[in-house]
Amino acid sequence: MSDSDRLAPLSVTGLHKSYGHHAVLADLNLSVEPGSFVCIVGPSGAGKTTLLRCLSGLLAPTSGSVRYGDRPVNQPLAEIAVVFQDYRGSLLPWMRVRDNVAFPLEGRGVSRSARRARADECLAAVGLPGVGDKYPWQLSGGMQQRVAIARGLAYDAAVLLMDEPFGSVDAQARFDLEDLVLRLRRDLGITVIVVTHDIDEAVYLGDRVIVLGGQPATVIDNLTVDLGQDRDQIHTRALPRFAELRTRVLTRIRGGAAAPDPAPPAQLDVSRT
Amino acid sequence: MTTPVQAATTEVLEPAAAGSKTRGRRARVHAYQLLCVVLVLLLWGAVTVSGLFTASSLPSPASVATEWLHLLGAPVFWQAVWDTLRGALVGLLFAGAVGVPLGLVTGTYAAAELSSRILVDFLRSFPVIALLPVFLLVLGSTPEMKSTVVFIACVFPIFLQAQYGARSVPPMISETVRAYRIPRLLRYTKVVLPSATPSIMTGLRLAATTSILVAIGVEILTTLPGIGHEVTQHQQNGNSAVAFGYIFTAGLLGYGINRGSMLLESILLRWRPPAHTV
Repeated sequence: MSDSDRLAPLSVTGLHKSYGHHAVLADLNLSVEPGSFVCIVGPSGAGKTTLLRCLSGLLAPTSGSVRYGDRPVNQPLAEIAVVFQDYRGSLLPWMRVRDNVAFPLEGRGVSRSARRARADECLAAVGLPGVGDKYPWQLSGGMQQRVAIARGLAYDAAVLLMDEPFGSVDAQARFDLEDLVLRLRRDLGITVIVVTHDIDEAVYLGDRVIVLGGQPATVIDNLTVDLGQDRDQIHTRALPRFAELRTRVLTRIRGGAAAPDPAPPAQLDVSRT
Repeated sequence: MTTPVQAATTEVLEPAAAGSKTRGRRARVHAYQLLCVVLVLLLWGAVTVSGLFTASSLPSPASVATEWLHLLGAPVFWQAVWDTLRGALVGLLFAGAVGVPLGLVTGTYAAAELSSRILVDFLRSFPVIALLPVFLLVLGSTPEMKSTVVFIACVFPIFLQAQYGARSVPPMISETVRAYRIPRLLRYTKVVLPSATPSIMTGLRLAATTSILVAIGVEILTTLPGIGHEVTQHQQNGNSAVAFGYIFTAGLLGYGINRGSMLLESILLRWRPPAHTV
């Protein structure tokens, strides 16, 4: 497969999803450019996980389409790796950490030694060298989530889809994981899509924040985060611009109109998708 | 379907951490367990001394012990043990080889499981010994027939436990396996099978005990060599102490197989966190 096929925009057009008569998502449109970091934020129960499952091809839309480049995403693609919120449930408890990370490669027929090398490499990349021989339960929650991220990396996908990836770890581990994902994105040039209910996290991580809202949910705001590529937990979060962006997102989630933005319009993408 | 046996599988594994206090308690438990055995032996002895039964129908524990020790030196005895064990193990092996894959595959497809349920429920309730005359007629009085009957008695518990295990793959894991495009065969060997192993082991343990039971039953009812055959022979010849020696051996075999499968289980499930084994 050529590189241009591998790196492609992930686009959603006119997506509707209902469970029976209960509509969860309606007329949802968005597009994620290759190499960008997009956070999808919305209140609990807004259908964020449903959207992520549609994006990953795990769930078929009721109508509308999800496409990766010019291919429909109607089943999981090799270009998209998923990191689930429930890391405890998504790591296989009977496999050692290294085998967990290498498992998707086994499905691709990669040789044992190559799998092993790749798994160790990815574990090192997430800051967990030397835990390959442990079982998942022997690691802390934050470390288990790193293993799940390493598995996503080993899969060698162009897109990393993450569902509330840091929701169940403690605050310090959460900051570390956020910075880890930012670094991986910068080093590997992968596309990252994070679904979260945490507004601060969305603004801190994303190049773009997409706000979901309404019943059924749709995109109610789509803003560019002009905080640059280099971010750190202490200074970035203290910037006045950070506060403005989070205020705007919070206002939209609470149902307010888009607050007038003081930034120069050229830097902002306020167009509603 | 719930399996009450499931609960029993975990309690028999000893807690891994044993401080001096728990070690002391364990020694006391062992002492009590031994006491129970001694009490039953004393009761048995008392009954034989009381003269309620003749020595030829119920021999004393001492005479059984003497005869049993004699048996240990007799090639005939070991041949009988081997005949029984082979019949049981061959049947059990085939039951595992058929029951586990079939259970795993039908367990993952709801339609297959539902449509086969009535048939399976009926077949497994069938008293296998009632089929013995049919097998005698079709297969003749052969060791293969013995293994076939064992197979039929053992395949259902294994099949059902494998099916139950395959159905209990956590949804989160199924989702992960789907998201990472794990091919079907790999899914069975590396996901469904390990996930179902605790359940399968329960089935295997049940089946292992059944296999010895059925093998001996067939030997008693036919002329096939083995422990069961020796028991009837010696009973009829009035050597009831020898017959009891063989009966005791059969008990030991069953107990040994059970312990063996528990050991196998703890090896296969060593990936479990300790909380599971307590």
